[in-house]
Amino acid sequence: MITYSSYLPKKSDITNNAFITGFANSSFELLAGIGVFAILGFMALQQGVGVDEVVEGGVGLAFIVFPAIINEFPAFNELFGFLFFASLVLAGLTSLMSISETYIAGLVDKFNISRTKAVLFGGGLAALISLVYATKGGLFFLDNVDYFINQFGVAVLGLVEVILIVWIFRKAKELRTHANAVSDIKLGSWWTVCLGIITPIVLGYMMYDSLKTNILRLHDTDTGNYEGLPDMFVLYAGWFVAIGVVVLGILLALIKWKKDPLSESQETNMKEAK
Amino acid sequence: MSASAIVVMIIGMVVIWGGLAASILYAVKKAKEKAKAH
Repeated sequence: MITYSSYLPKKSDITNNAFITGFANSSFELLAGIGVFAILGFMALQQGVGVDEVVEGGVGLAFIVFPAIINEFPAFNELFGFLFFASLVLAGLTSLMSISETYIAGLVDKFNISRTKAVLFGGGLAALISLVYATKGGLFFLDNVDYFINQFGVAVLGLVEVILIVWIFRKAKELRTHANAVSDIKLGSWWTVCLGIITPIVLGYMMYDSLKTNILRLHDTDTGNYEGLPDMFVLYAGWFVAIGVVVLGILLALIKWKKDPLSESQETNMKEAK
Repeated sequence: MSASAIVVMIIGMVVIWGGLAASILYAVKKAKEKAKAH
């Protein structure tokens, strides 16, 4: 989202754009949630078991539960099967674009290289690493890496970001003034309270709870690990990956910018002033 | 599903979908105003 928003015109209404993005994301998730639980409820009723016994998260939901539901349809199973997997491919492709764009934009700006080179290098490296997901045990790797990156990579990033911006660099007021200068909806002190207090508390608690569950192995499985996976697998395909991306992020941040980001924005401002 | 869960769900739906509709309508209104001004 940060990468996409960096492409907005300089004088965009940041606040309303942020409202639309946040509400649109939550709206679709709410709609999808209603759909998924309606389907799981139907399946549980048919099998005569509780909803918690048919619930499958992530990969299992898309590749096991949904195809099973489509098979139950009285007619047009093939058509709905095709529509479902076509939608899944489309969702995958658009996610691929948004994920790729973050590192492509980062490589272009940081190392001052062309987009083609950034796509070839970043995409090539990603393709090589992804080969592991195409092996026989690939689904386990995919599920575990996906879980750890979402639980610790993305959540930690959000937590560190708000703490750095509000408490370490003290930029909340500056950002609020900038947003208010270009937006019709004005941000009040409630925004700083949300960013500096409520968000870190919520994310911090989520982080603590997630760390406790995974370190003390409190998952309701045989091994106590996520999906009942063995300790060594979780260590290498989970913790190493989650900690690895944080270390990689710090190392990349230490490398000096080849292109001065300030000079570019100053150039744009000068052009706009003319 | 308990009554409190239903109430929270309805509040959530009104806030989230209402918020989306309101922010889109606001953006459309502002865009029209800007187009008229030009």
